[in-house]
Amino acid sequence: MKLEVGKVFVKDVILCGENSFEKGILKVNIQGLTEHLLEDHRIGKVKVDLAKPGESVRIIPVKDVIEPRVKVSGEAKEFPGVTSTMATAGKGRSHVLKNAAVVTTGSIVGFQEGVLDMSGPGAAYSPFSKTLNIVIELEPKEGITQHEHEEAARLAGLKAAAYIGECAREVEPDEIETFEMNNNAMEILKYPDLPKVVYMEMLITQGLLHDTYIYGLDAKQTLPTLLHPNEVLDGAVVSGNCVAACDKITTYQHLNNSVVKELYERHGKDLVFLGVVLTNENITLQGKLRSCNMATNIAKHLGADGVVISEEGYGNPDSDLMMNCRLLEEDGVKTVLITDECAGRDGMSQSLTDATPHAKAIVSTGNVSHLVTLPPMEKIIGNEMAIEQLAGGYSGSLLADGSLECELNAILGCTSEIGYHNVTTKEY
Amino acid sequence: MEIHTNNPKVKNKKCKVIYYKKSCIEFCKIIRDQVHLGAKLLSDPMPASRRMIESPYRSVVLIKRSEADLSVDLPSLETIEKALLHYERMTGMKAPIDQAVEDDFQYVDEQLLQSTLKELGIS
Repeated sequence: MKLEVGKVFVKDVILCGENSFEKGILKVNIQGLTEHLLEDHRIGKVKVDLAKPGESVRIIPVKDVIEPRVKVSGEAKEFPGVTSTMATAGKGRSHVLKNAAVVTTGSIVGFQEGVLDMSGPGAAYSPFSKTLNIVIELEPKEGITQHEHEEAARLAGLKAAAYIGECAREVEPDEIETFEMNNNAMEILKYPDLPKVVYMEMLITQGLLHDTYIYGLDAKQTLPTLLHPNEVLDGAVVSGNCVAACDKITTYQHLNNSVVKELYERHGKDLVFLGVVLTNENITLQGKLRSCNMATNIAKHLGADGVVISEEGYGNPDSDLMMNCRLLEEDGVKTVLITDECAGRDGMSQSLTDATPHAKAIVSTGNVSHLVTLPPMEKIIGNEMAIEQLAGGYSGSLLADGSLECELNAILGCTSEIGYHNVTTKEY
Repeated sequence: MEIHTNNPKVKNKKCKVIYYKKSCIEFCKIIRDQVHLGAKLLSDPMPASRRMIESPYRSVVLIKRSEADLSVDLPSLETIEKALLHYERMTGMKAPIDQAVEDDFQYVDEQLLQSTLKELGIS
């Protein structure tokens, strides 16, 4: 399978009356975009705004971040099974508006979080403070349930990304990155002496505000499945969750999955990358056993010598992470786990809710309990009141001068468990 | 199969609902005692996100043992003990919540329970 990602670098974004891309300037037709999104009868109001790196802007609560892109060849279109007809992603060419992002905001429930500061100390924690953000604030029509609101907001973000992505269709990309890999049998024949590695990506799949979709299918209704890495990088997986701001995997991060890219980079050099096992994080104990057994069995059947396992979220998924690790290690398959930690503000507490002696190699993506103070911003996009209900917030967390004292928990994408983030861990 | 909950919003026609007007920790201690008396947990009492872990509401699905079975289900015991340990650690860190947010916590807990029941074949 061969995927070409044509990178079109965006230097600035302008909201105006036309859609175009010229000399690095992305123009977005604000009225056209608004009308396109209002075609969904569940959406009552759409407000489009911009938030650029360095500006004194806070966006809260962020629902999702999506990279604008368009398929220029290949049988699939953008986000197949969701905003377009089902077809296999990962083939042909996609043009991507790099440095730009669609950010959706709007309160579905009162305790939703996801702070994104475009400047100040908070900005350093989120990779999306460095993107030119086209922010879409959505208000549902009266009488719409939270389920319908969530779905409408999820689809609106994806539709907006595809709508804006169209601007890159006829543009000659600045750079083309090629992802090409044959079937496993042929790749193993090419590199018979290299260790074979599978990437197991765990996805939050537990219900309202805690869901992920594979080709449009609610992943809690799926069994673990194997995908070609290109499919992940080309829109097969979209986010539907928005309560664990720090470690939710936004759709943008799925599209730029750092683990997939790293394993691709090393494929044929010091390992053979056998593909991506997508597995779900169930609520029922039976479901956890089922998914962990099946996901690890896929990796074993593929003949993996090693498996990189990334988690999404925190709490009961820690049990799935440890179970996946144990089931593989017991059969002699080496594992590396990627997770963040909830280790208390001093970093001294038990950092995960589960553990196994088999987990010998863990990459930490940061302590979500770390306390930060975010100074007031001149402009708030979204719902300012949501600030008071952040995870890790407490009485008095909103200071008199408008500063916000909160844990990293609240900051969008700051401890991403697939590695697309800014925080690093230091051993001392 | 029974639903045990401290969420007043939970109602179900197909499954017996036992409601406790208790805090999250007190509720989990009751569930732990039920496990010691032979109940088996079918769902994890710990959510998948920090904000829901801070929620005052929990709903779990469990089954009671038969009278003849005196064993304790160790995975269930381990699961509820881990959840309790975690909640106790987080006590005192929570922000006070207003009525609207409280309603939303109840709603999301109820929705997550619906997903659980669907997975268990009851909807």
